[in-house]
Amino acid sequence: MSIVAEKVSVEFGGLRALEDVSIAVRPGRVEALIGPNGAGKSTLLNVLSGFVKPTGGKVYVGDLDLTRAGSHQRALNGIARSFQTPRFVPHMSVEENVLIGFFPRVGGRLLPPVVGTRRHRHEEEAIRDRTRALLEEFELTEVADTPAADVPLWRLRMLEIARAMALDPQYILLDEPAAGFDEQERDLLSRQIARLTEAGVGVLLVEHNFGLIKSVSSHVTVLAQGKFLADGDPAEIDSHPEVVEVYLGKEEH
Amino acid sequence: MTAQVTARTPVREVSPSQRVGPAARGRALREIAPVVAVLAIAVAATPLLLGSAGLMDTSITIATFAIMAISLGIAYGLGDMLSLAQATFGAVGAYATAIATTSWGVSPWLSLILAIALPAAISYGMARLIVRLSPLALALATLAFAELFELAVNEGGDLTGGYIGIGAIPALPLPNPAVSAHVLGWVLVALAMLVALRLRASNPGRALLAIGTDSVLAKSVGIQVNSHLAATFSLAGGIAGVAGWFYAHTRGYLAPNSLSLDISFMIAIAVIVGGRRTILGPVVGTILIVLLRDHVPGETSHGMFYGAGLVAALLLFPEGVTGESWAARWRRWRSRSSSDRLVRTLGARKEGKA
Amino acid sequence: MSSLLNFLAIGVALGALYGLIATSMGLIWQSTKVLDLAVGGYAAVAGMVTAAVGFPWGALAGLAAGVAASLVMGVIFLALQRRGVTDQISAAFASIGLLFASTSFVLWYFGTDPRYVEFITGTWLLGDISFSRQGVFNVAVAFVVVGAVLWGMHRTPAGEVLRATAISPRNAQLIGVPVRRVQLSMFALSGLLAGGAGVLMVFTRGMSFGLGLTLTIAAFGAMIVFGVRGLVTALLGGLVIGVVEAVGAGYFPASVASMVPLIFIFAVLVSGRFKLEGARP
Repeated sequence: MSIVAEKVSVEFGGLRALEDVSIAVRPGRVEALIGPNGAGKSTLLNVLSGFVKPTGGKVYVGDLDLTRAGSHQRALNGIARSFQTPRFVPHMSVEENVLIGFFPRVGGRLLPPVVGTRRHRHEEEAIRDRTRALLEEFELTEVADTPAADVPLWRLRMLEIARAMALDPQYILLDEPAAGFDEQERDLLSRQIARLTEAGVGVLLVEHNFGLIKSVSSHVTVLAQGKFLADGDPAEIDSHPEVVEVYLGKEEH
Repeated sequence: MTAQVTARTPVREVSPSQRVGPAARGRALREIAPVVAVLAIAVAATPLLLGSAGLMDTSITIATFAIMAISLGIAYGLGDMLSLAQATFGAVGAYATAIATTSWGVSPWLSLILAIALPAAISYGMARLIVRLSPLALALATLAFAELFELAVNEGGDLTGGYIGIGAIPALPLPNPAVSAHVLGWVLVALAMLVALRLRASNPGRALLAIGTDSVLAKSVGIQVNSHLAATFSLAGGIAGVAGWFYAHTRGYLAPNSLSLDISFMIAIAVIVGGRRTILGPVVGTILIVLLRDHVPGETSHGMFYGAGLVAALLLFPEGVTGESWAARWRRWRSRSSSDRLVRTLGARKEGKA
Repeated sequence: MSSLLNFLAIGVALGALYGLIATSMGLIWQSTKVLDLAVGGYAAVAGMVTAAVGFPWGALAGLAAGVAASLVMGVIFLALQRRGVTDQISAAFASIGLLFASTSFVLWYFGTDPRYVEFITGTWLLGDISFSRQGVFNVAVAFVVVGAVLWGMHRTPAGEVLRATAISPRNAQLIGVPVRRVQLSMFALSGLLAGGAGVLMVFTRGMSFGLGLTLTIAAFGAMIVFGVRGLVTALLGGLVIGVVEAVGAGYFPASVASMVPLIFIFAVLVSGRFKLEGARP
């Protein structure tokens, strides 16, 4: 069961951010989404995660139509995401920031924690255990109790992915997770992504770094100026003439 | 209005762990310390207060307002909703129990349920109207509601006793009324602190902090911002109702201006001065403000001291007196003055070179 | 019918004063995005000082008192900015603190008795409707003053500086405008307007220590009636609030009448039409 965007268009006050774009994210595979700045990659990701409502087209998970569903409902349907600039609660610790990822799985009812039911205490214990495991997986154990505001960027990106994983999602949408990373950090990231796919999660990877894309993804979609330009496996795209031109053309002239 | 979508394959529920580990127990003990401390101090102070009816009275007053302050600590400290109607929700609870016990002969213990449920329901309804608003608009809406309620109660005729109010509210059937009122009051404070604590340490509580920081983040992890805030506001309303119940049965009489906007302001000042994001903050703030009120000479000059105190708190302690530890404050002040000196030295050096 | 028109006349006489205070609030809002809830307090202080000093110098003393009170708020505002406390709630709360302080000051210094000073007496009769001369004077003063402020804001170089600073304090600072002084003078002007309303009120209906909050509420309602758009809409909004209140008081008991502006404020706030910055992040 894939998450599919079908002929999606987005218009903001006369500006066409996306025009008839389709993309599919399959379980256990990494779908890469590339394109020059302003191509509409983040917009498409926002449509898939429910932060932008398309003016045309549809979004499906399996046969469930999510097009008009609110952003919080994406999470409820197994779609997690990260953000280009990491979002977190600065005065909560890294561990607590990952804990909020469990929200849909334990529910937000106020009475169980307030009354202190046994079930709630045991649930809280379970998610703390799971969080500790996630922190270790994403190399965050050292900073578990540090306020998130005091933690370096690469750890914040790991935090975002760990938090996304807390949902036990079927799909993760990653928005430029490797921006500002050095090679070592990129390697760490590609290992994490590989683990995600091994676990059967479908990944959408919006990225600029083609090396990273080649190492993890099975399929690449290229956008330019809000429109579909090309797609194929990484090797094909690497040598695709139009893609090369759209990325390098401006520099030549 | 976004379409409601039920998940076809719902997210996997967490299977609760079989037992609670030692780390969790240790954490729970550390967190509960302030609650135990407050209760212990109150109980220990009992013999000291026994001598003076005035002191006992002050303690009961502080306890009553502290419960309301804790409710505001939940709404404002966790939920970023500045409610100037907490005393009004208290009044709802107070009037509910007063009417139930005087007109219908219900036992005070039973009317406690009404004193919690009615304010919780009303505050929930109000919340659904106002959670979407910006912080200032929300605060103003609660202010308008508080004034409206007082005016409405004034016109309540026989039911609410109009501007005279309701008298002869039965005291709680407890042995040794003065002392037990004091102890009960502080037990209620401790319970309210426990509720706030448990909420903060739970996922719904963390969700509130997420909402307050970044609603995009909150939505991306599946939080339904508006209903979550409304539920929290309702909880705060219910807790304020408990304070109102306690007020009615310890005072014995109730008038429209007993728990009015003035009290809500006082509680808001207490929470701001004491620190809205800590567990002890609202309680400490209430103690400070009530003691200030009672020891400032002349009733007429209260407002000047409140006003000055509030402005001072906003300028000197934006996070409240308990918000930042004094050690951290000292460190921050020292680092700021040393970095100032550094900047000036660098500047001087630059000038010299040029 | 004639009684309705009489209520209208009374309403307009008071509404002009609400409008002046609303304009004062609007000035601060437009220039600093601070909701100054102490404006009613400026009026109350000004009115009481006027009554205490007595006619005729009382009026000047009252205006000075109003300006002094508003300058206190100005200083508090600047101090908050300096401390980096720039959110609207803190500023509004500080103004509430000042409102309390001013109410308490008036109570402490002048006592609980309401004061009244006679200025213009007598009425004009137009058919069945009687217009109090004081009321007509109030309306005239309100329109002239607001007109003068608008003229000053839009037709003088000083006014341009004020407006530029209001739009972007940072840009104004970059081009050398003494932003802090400009902002303080806006507060002073606001105090002058609210103080003027207080002086006129003590001539019209009298003033007491408790009116500070009531006047603030009326002024806020007036400011939002036509949407927070400008000074003229604030003045007109004041007239509306005054009329609604007078008509209400004519036909309903006092409590019910004073509920109307509050219900109105609640409804406008809930509808979300009062656009405030600092919406949920």
